[in-house]
Amino acid sequence: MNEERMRILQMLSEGKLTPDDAEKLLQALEVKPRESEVVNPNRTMDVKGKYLFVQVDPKEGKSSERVSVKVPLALVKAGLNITKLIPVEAQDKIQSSIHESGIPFNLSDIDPQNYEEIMEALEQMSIDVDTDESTVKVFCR
Amino acid sequence: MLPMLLRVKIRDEERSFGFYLPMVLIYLLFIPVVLLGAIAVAILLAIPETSKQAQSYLRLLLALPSLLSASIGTEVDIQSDTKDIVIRII
Repeated sequence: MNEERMRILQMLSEGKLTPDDAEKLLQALEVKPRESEVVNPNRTMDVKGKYLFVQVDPKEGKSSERVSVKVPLALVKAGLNITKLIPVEAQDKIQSSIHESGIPFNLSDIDPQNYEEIMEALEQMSIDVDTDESTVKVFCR
Repeated sequence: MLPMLLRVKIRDEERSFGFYLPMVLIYLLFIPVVLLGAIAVAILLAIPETSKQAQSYLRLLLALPSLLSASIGTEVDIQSDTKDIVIRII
């Protein structure tokens, strides 16, 4: 039981609050966490200072090239935001090119609600690919 | 804010050099293109048959600076035994 709830019950027992007032206050306390739940998803959208890293490290005795790419998550977010501004006729052309390349992806599947999910998933994403030649790591920090 | 500097650093077995490229120079080069584009969009907006299409392309074009500004902090670092290349957008 949290402190605020205890204080309300104590004031009720001391007669400082009527049962009606106490009930209202307790209900208000229950609403509070729901409000914070609504705010939290927006916090995950704050991508300032966060980066998407792609690192390719060669294995010993193999290719000596080491590649490291650091992309701000804000750029990914801006890119996602721009997809909704692409004119319909251009989207159709892009879509047909994507299908021709054999990629099973629909641009129309990306809607503003998905942006948050994509960004949230990206922030928690970590991919490790281990091949004979090299290891590839994709992660966010 | 748009990116202001592009840092390029190249090192090979013989020499090493790097430079900061002011992005303003690149933006200045694009001014004629932007002006011509603005005139073309204005004409397309004035024609009723094409105005809707022009509006959607205009919205896309206006969003491009946000993409550029979001690219600040991008780094590409390629290292090998003989050559290192670092590109940073500042």
